[in-house]
Amino acid sequence: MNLKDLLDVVSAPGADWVGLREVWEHATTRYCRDGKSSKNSSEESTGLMVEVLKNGCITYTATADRSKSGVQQAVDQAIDLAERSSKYRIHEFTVSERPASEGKYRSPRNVALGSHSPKDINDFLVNACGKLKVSEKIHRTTGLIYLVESKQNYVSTNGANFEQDFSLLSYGFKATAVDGTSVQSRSDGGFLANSLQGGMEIFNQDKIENMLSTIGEQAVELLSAEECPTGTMDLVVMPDQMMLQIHESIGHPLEIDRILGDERNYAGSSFVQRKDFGSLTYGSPIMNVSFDPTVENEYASYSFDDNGTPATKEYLIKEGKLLRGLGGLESQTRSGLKGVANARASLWNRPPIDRMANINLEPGDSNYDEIISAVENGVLMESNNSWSIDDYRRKFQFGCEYGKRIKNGKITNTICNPNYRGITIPFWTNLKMLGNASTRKTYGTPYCGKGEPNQAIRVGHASPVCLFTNIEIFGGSK
Amino acid sequence: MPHQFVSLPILRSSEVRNKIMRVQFQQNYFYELAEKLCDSVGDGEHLTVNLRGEDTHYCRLNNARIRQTGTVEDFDLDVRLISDNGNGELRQASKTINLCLEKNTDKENCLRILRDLRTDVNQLPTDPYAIIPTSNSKSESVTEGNLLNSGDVPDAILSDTNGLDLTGIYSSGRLFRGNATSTGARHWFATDSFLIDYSLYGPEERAYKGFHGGQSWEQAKFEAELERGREQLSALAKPIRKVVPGEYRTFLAPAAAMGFSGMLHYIFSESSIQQGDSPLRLMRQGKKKFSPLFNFTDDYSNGTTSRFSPEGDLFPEKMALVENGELKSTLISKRTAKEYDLGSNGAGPSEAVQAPVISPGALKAAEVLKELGTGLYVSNLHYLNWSDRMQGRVTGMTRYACFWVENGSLSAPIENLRWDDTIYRVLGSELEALTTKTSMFPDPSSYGKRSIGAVSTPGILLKSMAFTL
Repeated sequence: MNLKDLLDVVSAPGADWVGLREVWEHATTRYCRDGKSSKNSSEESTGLMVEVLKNGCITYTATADRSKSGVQQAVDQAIDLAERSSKYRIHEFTVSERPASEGKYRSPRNVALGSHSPKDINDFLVNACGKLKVSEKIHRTTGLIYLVESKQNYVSTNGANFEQDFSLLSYGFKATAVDGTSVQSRSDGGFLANSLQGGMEIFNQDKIENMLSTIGEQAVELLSAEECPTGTMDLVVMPDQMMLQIHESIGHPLEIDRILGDERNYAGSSFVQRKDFGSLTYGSPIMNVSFDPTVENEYASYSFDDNGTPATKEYLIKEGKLLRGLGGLESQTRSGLKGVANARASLWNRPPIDRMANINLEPGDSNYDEIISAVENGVLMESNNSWSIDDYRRKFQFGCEYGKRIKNGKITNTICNPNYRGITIPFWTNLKMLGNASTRKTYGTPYCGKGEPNQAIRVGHASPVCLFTNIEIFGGSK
Repeated sequence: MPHQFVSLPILRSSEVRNKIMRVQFQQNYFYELAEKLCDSVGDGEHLTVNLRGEDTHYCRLNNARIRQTGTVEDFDLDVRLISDNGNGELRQASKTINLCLEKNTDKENCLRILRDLRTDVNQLPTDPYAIIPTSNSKSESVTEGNLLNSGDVPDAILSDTNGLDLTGIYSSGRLFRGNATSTGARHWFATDSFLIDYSLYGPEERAYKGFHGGQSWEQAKFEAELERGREQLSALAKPIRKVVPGEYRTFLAPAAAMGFSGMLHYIFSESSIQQGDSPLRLMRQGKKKFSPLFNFTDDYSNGTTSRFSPEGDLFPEKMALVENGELKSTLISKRTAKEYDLGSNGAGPSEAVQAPVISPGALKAAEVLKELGTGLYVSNLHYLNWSDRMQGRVTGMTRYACFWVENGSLSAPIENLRWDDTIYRVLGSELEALTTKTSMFPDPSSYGKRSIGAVSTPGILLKSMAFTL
């Protein structure tokens, strides 16, 4: 029975609204270490999130039982829970928080994810390990590919009826070099940072093969590199680290459910308050940040969020001023703030909450050489390997795999263990130069964690190269 | 077009409960599916079948109101096929599906994924370290509790909050783990459990963190916990003291020690040490050690977690990992043993510490503040990550009720601080004492599914800890 027919035969006495969100997801992981096939696994999950609105309370039942009786039981259970819970509801929700959207979304793809045989993929990963091993000092090499097909159908009693069909691909390669007690690792942008929507055409084997020896060489180079200096100086951040900087110090603090306090027991709250929207200077006037689920190939693009809100590009920060938060319709009605279409769930078995989707820093007008030339005394950092930030998203500390010393406008030597720390608003205020579109790169991650119950979700981030001034920089322990 | 409800018979809540009761019988259901799969293996084929399941009522709370509530019934079955071509060459692949709990459909799906796995395996390169299951051991652990009915939860947890700003998550229900192998291993673990993992917020966003969990709900105990939290909140009402970065004598209360010890759970992996990915490499090389007061054990004896591996082997009930500050043992799985020509000590494939216990010491709770003297009392830590993994350096934040202590008395709550220090200082050179009393914290994690297990730790008094921002 299709989902719409299932909804048609469900009885929901007294309920103001019923919605069914069906998800089928198939994920495949293939992983090789040191030239040997180490993991070939897949996960397939199918289930239904049944939501009911009664007495102003939205409750849910997540079930894998798609039979008519199974769905009827799920609806009954959700109604029962709504009746018993509504006197303690946090807000009187209405059907307005579940729009009657209709339509279809399909990830762009030229070559289907299933078009490459397990043998072909394993052969490539095995050979890639060989190419990463550029020296006897390379102690460990890994290659990983993670392919996800995800299909979603959504119907509701107020007329929503949409389908979304996602094709998602992540890959990562890493080399670890060892010399005595010194150990250094280098990867292609940090763990699974190469996460995009699309087909196997994204897994561009020629392009990947060309970068593998560089990864290996840089891992070896780091073994004898100078330690990152300690001091307050300029910092050039490459896009694969900017991804994390945007995610932790812009994305999370702007989530409206954090501002409303929903996350205070787990991921935390936010230094941003409701009154700040429209008035707070978040950072430098060259800073423009958008929520954009419409970017082709970016990892968290979609047409509708998991409550059915049509997804559109919106500016969160324009010329350094905070304009809009990251909150779906439930958070918008509770807070009175403008938000975005970002109520999202990790799978059928979790309810939607405010998530990031694609959060992008718009490019500026400087090219790479102009940025480096502007640095008298500083450090360039790329590829995240350590991150931590407080529960209000103020005090952060990030570490990277690879650094370069910059003196008098020129890159000099490689440095190891580069780290920096700062406080969100002063840090973004110190954004001095933004790279142009030629420096911009798009990354993503399958694993942004948040929510109670916990949910890991896909997000995307695009950024140009950035220059920050007066940043506290330091190296590793010796 | 708006939907028109059709009129069908209404299922009563007793029938809804029948569905919940249904999962009580999942042991037989699981074994039946496993038998079907194991009966289907051909020559040179070996199978492991593992189940993870939950039947949980979640109730998310904010400001002592219900933010989101619902139930989740979700069972995953993981099937691993290991194929031996007769020349000692092994190939393997695994596939996980979720069960719909309709027997014929689930059986058909199991056989379908076995066919998929055969197709996959035949195309894969050999895996020289793959392990053929050998176990035929059996175990069963079922803990029945007395949990609240879903409908009774709102009144039970919110009727006595009286103006408290309570935020967090209540989760309750039965958790399941099962294992079967084509060599005859059969294991079953099911436990009823509940946990309310919460924060109480006072003025100026100062907060107290609480956990209240177990197998049987006792209303009076929960109300007493809330009352204790209310008292703690009043201690946070004093003006904040700003602490400048530097090194301070510090007491990590058990919840903070639990947070810090979380960094240890994956570093005892022998595979990780061999591959240059664990800070314990320094300990292995004899360059670092922990304090002689520090003892760390993987200890399944409290029964909070399942004791069988995905390969059907039973883990040793207790394994000392650090004894008197010295590295006593690492976790060596069969796969790692095969790769590095070592003897396995019964660790599972993840080589993660799954039942962590830090032994208590001699510091009495009543003497903690006096022995701390002047320094920081840290109740909780937040967002820990390696800042220099190979040197064992960790960064994170203080969180919740943390205080400046002056001459043995709580002086003032502090603004949250960033810290950055190594496991070898915190659990080694700077460790001065551990408390006599340990606390057990149920694992609150629910990524994918609700977790099982718990961490047991005392509080830890440090001569100094480095605070940086």
